[in-house]
Amino acid sequence: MQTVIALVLLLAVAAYSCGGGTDYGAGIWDLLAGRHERSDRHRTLVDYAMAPVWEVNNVWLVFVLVVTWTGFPRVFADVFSAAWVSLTLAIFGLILRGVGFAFRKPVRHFTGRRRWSTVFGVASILTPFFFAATLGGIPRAGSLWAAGTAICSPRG
Amino acid sequence: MTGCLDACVLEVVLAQPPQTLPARLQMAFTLMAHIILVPLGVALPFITLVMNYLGLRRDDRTALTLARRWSMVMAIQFAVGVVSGTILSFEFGLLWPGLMGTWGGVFGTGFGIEAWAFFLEAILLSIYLYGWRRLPPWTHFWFGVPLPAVALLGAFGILAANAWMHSPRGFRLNAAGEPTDVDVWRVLFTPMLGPQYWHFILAAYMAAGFGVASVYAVGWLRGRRDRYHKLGFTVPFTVGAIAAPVQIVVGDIIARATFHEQPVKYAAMALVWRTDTYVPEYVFGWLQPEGTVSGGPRIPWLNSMLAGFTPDTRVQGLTSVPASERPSPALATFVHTAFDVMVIIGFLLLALAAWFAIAWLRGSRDPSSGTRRRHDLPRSAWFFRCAAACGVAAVIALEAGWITTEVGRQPWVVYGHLKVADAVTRSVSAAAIWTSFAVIVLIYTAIAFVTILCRLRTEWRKADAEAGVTEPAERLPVPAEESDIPYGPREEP
Repeated sequence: MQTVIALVLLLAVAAYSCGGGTDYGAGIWDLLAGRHERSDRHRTLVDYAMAPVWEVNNVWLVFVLVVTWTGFPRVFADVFSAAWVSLTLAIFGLILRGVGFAFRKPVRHFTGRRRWSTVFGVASILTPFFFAATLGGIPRAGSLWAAGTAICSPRG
Repeated sequence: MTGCLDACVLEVVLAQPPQTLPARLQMAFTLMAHIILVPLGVALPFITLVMNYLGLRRDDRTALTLARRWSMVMAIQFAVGVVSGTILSFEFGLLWPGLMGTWGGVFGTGFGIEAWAFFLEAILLSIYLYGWRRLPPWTHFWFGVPLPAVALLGAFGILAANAWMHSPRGFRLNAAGEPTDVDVWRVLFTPMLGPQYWHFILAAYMAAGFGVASVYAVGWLRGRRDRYHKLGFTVPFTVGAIAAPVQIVVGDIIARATFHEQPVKYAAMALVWRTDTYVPEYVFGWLQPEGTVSGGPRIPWLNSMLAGFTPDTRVQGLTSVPASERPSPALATFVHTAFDVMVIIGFLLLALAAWFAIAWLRGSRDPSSGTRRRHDLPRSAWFFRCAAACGVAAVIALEAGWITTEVGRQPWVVYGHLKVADAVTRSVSAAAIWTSFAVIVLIYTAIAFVTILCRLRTEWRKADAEAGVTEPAERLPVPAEESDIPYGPREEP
């Protein structure tokens, strides 16, 4: 049973990396598109490609969390206790990313639009960075755990 | 009231680890923001589909325009809801690892159902939104039809998890006190699920119906008495008005379910200090630390009558459990106030729904031409003034009901098994949580503020356009998708 849940989790993480990863990549492309009026064509293309699918891609992330806390509750609690800072920064990034993406659309004024695009682009770099920092920390924490060293756990 | 709040804050600070207060505030704040979006997610698809159906059936372009505009509101609501919902699922781990680490494996299934429903909803909603121009009208309508059912399924998952926290079962505790032998069906279908679920669904339909209608009531009051506003008011208001009387009955049922399943919460809702028969009901009022209630009229016997239909029904009081297992007098007063606010708003909305129904059934006669309409809206401006406020009132009632449910179970997070203070994270200092709480409040408030500014600017630009002021040169062309014609050939991009 544990193996099946782990497989589902692996597939969900892979799906989020592909779907969500593309969206983060689109954010970075958006950031690097430049500051000319012409760059707006790139941004319109990013909007056009992302708008119908980014919610579905984001649901994979929620799904990963749900499967983790249902299948491996101790791991979930330990990871979220140990990686508190990077995960908190990641959720700030998630909020700012959504705000940036949502707000630049109704703003037709060029400079205002660019400001929201920058928020969206920078958050698109920082959010996956903090996710990766968390994931990178897990094997290290796991080895400490296996060696019997207590990592931060609310119930000791 | 401030004295009461101070006492409330003081007691929380003294009795619990320092992380508890900021963690509770952050969770409460993000949930409170999220719960405003939920009614739109649960009930707006249904209201929009009704309007879409009317538009197609009667070949009515006004109705189709309304349906299309509401579907844009659905899109915005869904996008914001996805973000604020993701934040909530992170907070389970960041703020309450003690809850998830021990009990996540028991009650996680409900969230799994919700995530699955969320996938379906995201896909169907995208088809519905982008199908306005790309699909034949009736095919487009039928793609939208599963949306209300999928929204009900998602709400079921979340409320199954929440109801389990209020009446936990479906597991066995082993020698170490940890849950084993999880029975998924018993976890999902707990005694509080039925009442909580229907109470919440009806509240969502009322909040969304009255909320949408109130927008058009404002337009009506400002003199825009055209078909567009009449239709935009009547359809959602009817949905809210049908839900209102059913909600009173369901509200009565959930109060009695709480009396049986969570007697201490019921005692807090009604400010019952000592277990007794012939218990009175207080309207507002403060519970003093020594157990008397000051302020607020007192209705003899009513509380016992509500709990068991006879005045000699024995109602369990707050003092029937040790002080560490019940909400403090200040918190109980808070719960009682929220409960009373919810009930009073519920009855006011029922009265407004009745006014609407009577006027609709009586119809009207135009005094100048003598023509009779079989059905018509009330003529009184006071009706529309009340209707303009009913959306905000329904959302306040929803929030008050949620406060009653969640604060009323304090100090427990899993009723009878785990206290909030034992669930909170200890891996960071209270200062860190205060900081994250402050940042989240700041960003959320900034969002609300910027939204209002954007709205204002749109209005000003419209006013400018009407006054003939030329548009700024920097302005980009309007994308074709933002135009309002529901169906028809699509311009190639």
